[in-house]
Amino acid sequence: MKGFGIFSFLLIAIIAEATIILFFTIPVFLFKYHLTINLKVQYDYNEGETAVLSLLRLPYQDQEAYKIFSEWPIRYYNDENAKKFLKEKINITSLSKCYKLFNSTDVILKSGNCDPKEVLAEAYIFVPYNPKSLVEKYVLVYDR
Amino acid sequence: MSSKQSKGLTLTAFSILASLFSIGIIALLAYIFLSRYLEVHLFVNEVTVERNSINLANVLISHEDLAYVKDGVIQRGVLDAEKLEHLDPRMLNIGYPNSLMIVKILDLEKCKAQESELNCDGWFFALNGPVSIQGLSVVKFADCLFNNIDDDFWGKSFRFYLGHILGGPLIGTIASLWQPHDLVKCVHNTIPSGVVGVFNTNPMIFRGLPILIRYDNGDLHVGRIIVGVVEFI
Repeated sequence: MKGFGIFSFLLIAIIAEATIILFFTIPVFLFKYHLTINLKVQYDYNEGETAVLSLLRLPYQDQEAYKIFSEWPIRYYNDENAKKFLKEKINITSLSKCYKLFNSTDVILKSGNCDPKEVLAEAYIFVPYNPKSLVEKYVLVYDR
Repeated sequence: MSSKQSKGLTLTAFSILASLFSIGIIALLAYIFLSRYLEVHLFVNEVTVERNSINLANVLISHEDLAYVKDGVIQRGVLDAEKLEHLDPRMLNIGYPNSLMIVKILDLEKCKAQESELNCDGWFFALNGPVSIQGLSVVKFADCLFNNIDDDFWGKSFRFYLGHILGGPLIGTIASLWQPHDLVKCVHNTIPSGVVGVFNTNPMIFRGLPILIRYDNGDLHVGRIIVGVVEFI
């Protein structure tokens, strides 16, 4: 019975210490994770938004690059110069080698054999010649 | 061994175990308090500083003294090279309290590759907010940093460390704004004891935010604005 008493005490001690460690460690870990993720989301959102903003304002053939997106299905769909321009500018704007630019119907540009997920930026573009809707969502996704 | 002796031994062993357990619990709580509490406290401050640098970058890219104004409308994210050239940072009146903010604007289309580095043209300036900590001089600290960091870093041309530059697109990471050995010296020499400096050191934040730089001739170049914040608490 005495041996059993000590064994029980040791068991309770181990459980108590483990509980204290977990009680402090898990919340701290979760709190740090929460703060880190929030900061990352904030930075990703801001970087993506300013990258797309810059991309749309860049000059292309005496007009803003916005026009490429606005008239993509009717005018620039097969324009290799426009694609080359966008590729160069996305490279330098996002500082990324893994990206994908798409809208609801087409993948406009995609780099290599990668599947970007990290930064997602959206822009709603006025598309005057689209019979279905006057606004089209363009999405740029890239990895750092 | 008699049963009386055994009982005495058992009780002694039990008492020793109970005492060790109590000491262990006290030591564990003290360790957790000292390490975890301070760690979390510092981490919260660091995250706040990182967030401040993102917010400040957003304010600067929309500030009328920096941004290009077209037909009376501020073009967010388009900085005017002419305004940057003649900028007096003191006139901006922006700054977090008890903080020094270093702003670096890089033109990514005016870079020269040198060995494994890329030097990009750009602009640099420092901002400091109101100071409420007694004995703290942010200006002294800033002067110390200016005097100790090499000319390439603070000059007209900035080092821009990239992973893959030669023969490929501009991809990589931007160099840290802070140089550890300079910081230690400047904190030691110019910051009162008891005041702690919290720096943003997150490599993600040091990528900055994409911007456009508009030159007088109408050219638009892709660039980045990088904001480093050090807050004294």
